[in-house]
Amino acid sequence: MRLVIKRLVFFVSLFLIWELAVRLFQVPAVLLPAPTDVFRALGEMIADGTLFRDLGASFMRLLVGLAIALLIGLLLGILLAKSKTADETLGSLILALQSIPSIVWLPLAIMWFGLNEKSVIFIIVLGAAIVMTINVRTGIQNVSPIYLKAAQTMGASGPDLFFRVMLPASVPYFVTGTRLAWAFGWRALMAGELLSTGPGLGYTLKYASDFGRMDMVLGIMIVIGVIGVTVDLLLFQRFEQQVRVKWGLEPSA
Amino acid sequence: MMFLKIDGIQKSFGKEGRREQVLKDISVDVREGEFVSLLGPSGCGKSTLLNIVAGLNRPDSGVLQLDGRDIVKPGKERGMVFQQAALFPWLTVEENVMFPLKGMPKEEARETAKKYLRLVQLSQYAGHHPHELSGGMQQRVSIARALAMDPAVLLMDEPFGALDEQTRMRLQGVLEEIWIETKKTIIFVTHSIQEAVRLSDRIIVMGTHPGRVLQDIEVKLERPREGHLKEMAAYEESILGMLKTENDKVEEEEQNNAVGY
Repeated sequence: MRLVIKRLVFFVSLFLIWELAVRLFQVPAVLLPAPTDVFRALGEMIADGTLFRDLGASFMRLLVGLAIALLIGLLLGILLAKSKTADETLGSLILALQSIPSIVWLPLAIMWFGLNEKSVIFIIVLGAAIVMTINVRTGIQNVSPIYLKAAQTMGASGPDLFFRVMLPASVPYFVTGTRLAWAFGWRALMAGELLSTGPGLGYTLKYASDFGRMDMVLGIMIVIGVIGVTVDLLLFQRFEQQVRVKWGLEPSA
Repeated sequence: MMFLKIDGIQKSFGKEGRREQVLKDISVDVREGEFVSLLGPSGCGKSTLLNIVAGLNRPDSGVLQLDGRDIVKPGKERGMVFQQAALFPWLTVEENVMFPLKGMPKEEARETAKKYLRLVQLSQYAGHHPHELSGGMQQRVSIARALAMDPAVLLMDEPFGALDEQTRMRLQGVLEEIWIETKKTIIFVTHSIQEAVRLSDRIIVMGTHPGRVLQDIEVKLERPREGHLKEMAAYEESILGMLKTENDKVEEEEQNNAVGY
């Protein structure tokens, strides 16, 4: 409870100082709008429905992209874990690709798919599939040998051993992979929308910026941040924690 | 013909460029329904021998037969309990016990699992997950899981080694009762003399460097043995005396080696 109070006090004072500073030094709104203006702009966007329309469009893209990415990541991860040759060749390419932010693929993606949703989804898939692949691979390779031994003495081998022991034993890694895929995908989505087309949260942000509406820009930024933190902390990290406790990787609280 | 025939087993591992012999000419015959302990200090290869019987490891040479058939790989006729319970955390206790019963109709498998959970006195935990159970309870589930597939031999690799003393004592009692009830052939690896005497019909005492059989002792005591503390103590003492001679030899060897450097 004390944590909540501390945070509340911190954020309220942050907004207060921001408001005071803007008023005191008469900062022009195109440079930095006051928080009251930002919240007013947010209220307008909620009232006329643009915010929810944008959120809906963005989330639709993200979900499609993540679904494809998770599937690709799962299959590729299994391939890398099971085939040494694939790991040594394709695996090194995937590690190399990881160091390239997926957004830099956008120019190519636009040439391939056109200036539309498909390009943005491609960027999301690229960013998210790579982290998922790496986590799935690590998970399967790190299955505790004692599980495999025990299962073998109970007559499990081959595909039976893989589907009944190795895959379920790797689930904590799959969950981590999914959380990271979401985080990468969310960032890729915003970057993609900013540079391509709407409707969507990123697109509206660019639109507002073209008209010098920095109150809207900041309002959307706050929405992006709040959604990012909420999904990551409340949804994924909590779920990840539960899975890790159940799988015996962390002692229960 | 012997039920489990272990004859002339040799095993060495490559270690830092040279071969180290872990098992030298091991021969042990086990009768059906017998409770045999492999007792020895760490490094005597007792766990390696058990892994070989389980089929998880291959010997360099020697004959290994169960009921007249060669052992070449792991199989359901040889159940194994490890030092760690090795329960699958994503399954409930009951599902864990049902794991080896693949192919059996679901209802029958469930009934079988229930039966063996009753045997280890954990029926009321069927729906729990392993992480909700204490170490001792987990190990009991693991015993139930190995027994559920009705193996011809139950192999136990220091199953109580990671438990506290009290739990350990209690589980020894539980295991003895299970043995009296099921008359399973059990091979039990331990480094505790007390444990070996408390549980076994026969104790195979092993020595180290290389791992070999020192002595084959029959323990002729009534069961359950809880009440026969004095007789058990006598057995423990005689084994301890024998191991002491062995220990002196090891120490002497170590000292000679040290001088060699």
